[in-house]
Amino acid sequence: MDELALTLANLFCAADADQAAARTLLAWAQLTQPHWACLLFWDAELGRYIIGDTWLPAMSSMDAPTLRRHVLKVAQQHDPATAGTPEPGFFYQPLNTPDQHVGALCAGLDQVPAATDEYGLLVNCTARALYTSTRLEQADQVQQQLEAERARLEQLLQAVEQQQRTIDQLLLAERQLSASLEAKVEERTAALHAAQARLIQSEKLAVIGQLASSLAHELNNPLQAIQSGLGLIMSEVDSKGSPRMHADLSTIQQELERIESIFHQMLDFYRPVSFEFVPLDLNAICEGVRVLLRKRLQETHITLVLELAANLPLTCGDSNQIKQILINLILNADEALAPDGGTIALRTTSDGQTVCLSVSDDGPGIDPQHQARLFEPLFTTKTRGLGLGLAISQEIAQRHDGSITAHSTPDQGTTFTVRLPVRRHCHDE
Amino acid sequence: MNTTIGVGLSDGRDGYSCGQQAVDAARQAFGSATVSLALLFTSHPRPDEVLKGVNAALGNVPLIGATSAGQYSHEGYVEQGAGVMLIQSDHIQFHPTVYRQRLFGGRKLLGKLRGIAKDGLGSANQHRALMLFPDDRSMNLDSVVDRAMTETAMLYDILGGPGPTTHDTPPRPPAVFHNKRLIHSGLSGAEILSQSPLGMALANGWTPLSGPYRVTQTDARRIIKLDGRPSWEVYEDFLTERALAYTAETLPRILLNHPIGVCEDGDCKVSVLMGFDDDGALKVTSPPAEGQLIHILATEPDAMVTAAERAIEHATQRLSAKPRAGALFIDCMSTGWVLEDAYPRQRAAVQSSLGDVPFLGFRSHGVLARLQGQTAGHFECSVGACLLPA
Repeated sequence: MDELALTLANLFCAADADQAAARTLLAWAQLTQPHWACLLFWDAELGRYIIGDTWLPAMSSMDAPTLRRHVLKVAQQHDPATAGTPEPGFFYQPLNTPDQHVGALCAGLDQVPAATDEYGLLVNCTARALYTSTRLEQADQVQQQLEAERARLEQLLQAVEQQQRTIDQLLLAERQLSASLEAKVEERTAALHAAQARLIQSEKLAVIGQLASSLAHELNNPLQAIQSGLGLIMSEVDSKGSPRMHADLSTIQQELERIESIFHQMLDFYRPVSFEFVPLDLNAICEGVRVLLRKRLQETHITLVLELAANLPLTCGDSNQIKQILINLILNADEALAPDGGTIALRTTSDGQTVCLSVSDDGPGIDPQHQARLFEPLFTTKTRGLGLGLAISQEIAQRHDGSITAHSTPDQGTTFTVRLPVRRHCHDE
Repeated sequence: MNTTIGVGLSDGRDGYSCGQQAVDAARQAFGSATVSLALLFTSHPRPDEVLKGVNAALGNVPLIGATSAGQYSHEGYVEQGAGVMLIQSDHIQFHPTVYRQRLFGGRKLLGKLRGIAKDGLGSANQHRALMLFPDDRSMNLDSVVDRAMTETAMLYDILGGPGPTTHDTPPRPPAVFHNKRLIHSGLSGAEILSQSPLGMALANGWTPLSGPYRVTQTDARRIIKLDGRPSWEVYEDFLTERALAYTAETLPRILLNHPIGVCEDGDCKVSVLMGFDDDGALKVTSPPAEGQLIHILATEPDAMVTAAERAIEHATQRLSAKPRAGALFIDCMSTGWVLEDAYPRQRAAVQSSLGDVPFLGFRSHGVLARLQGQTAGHFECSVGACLLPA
């Protein structure tokens, strides 16, 4: 019994079905002393036996292939429920668990083994051990397949993740492109609107210019004749000593000069002027404008304050035209401060990208309803103005790739700012 | 959209001239168009010289290919020579790929694939395929397909033909070609990205004759046991049952005529038996996995000829009514051995099925395939058709 226990323990400790089959055959041979032995596995899917292991003495007269073929043929025809002797010297012992047929032990025996407890125990344990080892081997195979499948799935997953990352990048790029396109569309739309507005304004200015040219051409000669005649009349009046008539004629002469001035202003606006593009010393231009307007500003009780930044970066343009802008803006401020006078500040600054000229007054400010139309040609709130000064100033600023803006707060004052681009040089601009 | 294909054969005795002549012949139909991809298959004893001749004639164009056991086209069949296919297309992209060593470890086989890279996903080139030409000695050919399937995330059809080791005419180790280089251990191939469907199909004419048998023990190149018995013992029983008498001389022919196959839904993945060893193990190139059921197979010449026609028919159907610009026909060299005198019938069937479509057939060591709805792997004694849309 001790020897059987050891055999059975060996059987249950088999590493795999092949080892279990070999140990089964050994135990069987020790117990029954057969001429040959063969362990068969039952392949349920195929519905037939396949060979587990074969034991054949070296000196046997039969070869292993012949034995296997014979055993398979005989066993396949035997009832798997019962042990028996299908032919003389051939013993068939089915191996069954309570649930299923596992296989069979076939042996060349001279006599059938006695159905002892020991024999029964060996058969039952063998069946159980084979069942267990077979199932374990199947489980091992399944596990190996699962491992291989897992490794493959991991690789696939990596590939899919890589693709997902790529798709994410594509989507992100598409969104960015879409946003960029939207921004560009908005930018272009705004630029288009601005261009349309500029075009309308330019056309308006062109019409005015043509009109001014025609008027100047048609009216200048009669005006000259009137002024000459008036001069003669005034000389005659002076000689006859009529002060009252002289005063009236002086008024007429002043108004004629004003008419002439308006004509010149309109002609200047229309006439294509030469345009210099040279380095500008904006601080010097401001000083020049102060000298030019000093007398006028003294008469109207205006204090002009200059706040000029040192080391302004280079900007380019036509100094006379920039001067014209400043004179326009300062005279506008002067009129806004009349009759009480006030303070006008003229400043130069720079943010590195642009250079700014600003003209600020501390007057009553501009009515908000008029602010949107300030730069329209012929728009004026002054009884004696023509409405061209700011339009001309804007035209000049734009000709310099710059801009002009107004900021006004009621009762606090108004600031006009001219921005000109900083340049690296003034050639080929 | 336009695809132009020119095919040329040559049986020139000197390798260099053979290569040049094959290119010249291909140029006759192809003209002077720029070559998008050149394919070279040669059964010449000096494949290195053939490659030099082809490169001298073509200049710097992308080239892939492999040694073979014979080439054919509408112009005929050359047992010892070279076949060249020149392809130009404005709607199909070809990106050559190369792997220059034995297949091992986790190293990537295919490198970066454009079709599933950032610019490839979502592009108009929605039809992706791989042509693969490995040598048949340095790598397990089932593993090549397995690896390629994984690296392409199963988004590509795969079709290819391993360059065979030949022992008879001419005796020569396998090699693959990549541009100007000849590589003995490795793989050349091309990623194909197309705006139109590509026509790829696989077929064979084998049916189960005996079995199934349980594969109970294998190693890298052998089926050691079937049904727990030495494989040869089982095979010998099959021969006895079928009354197929054999001698040492006739056995190779019997083994060739009765390969084994893993069969599913009427299709069999065929493995040609190359003999048995002292352990009674059957020698194969790509053994099935342990636990699988296999059959011993049989065929008839008519079935093999029909299979070639079927491959072309299925490939044509996959083009979705697009006209055919040209075809590559991958023909396992063992089909010719099995068919013997009937082999010209199969070639004639290929020519007839393709009509006036230019094609290049070459005899490989089996067909590598991963196609939708079919088992993937290395298929011996089978044929594969790759049709490019015009």
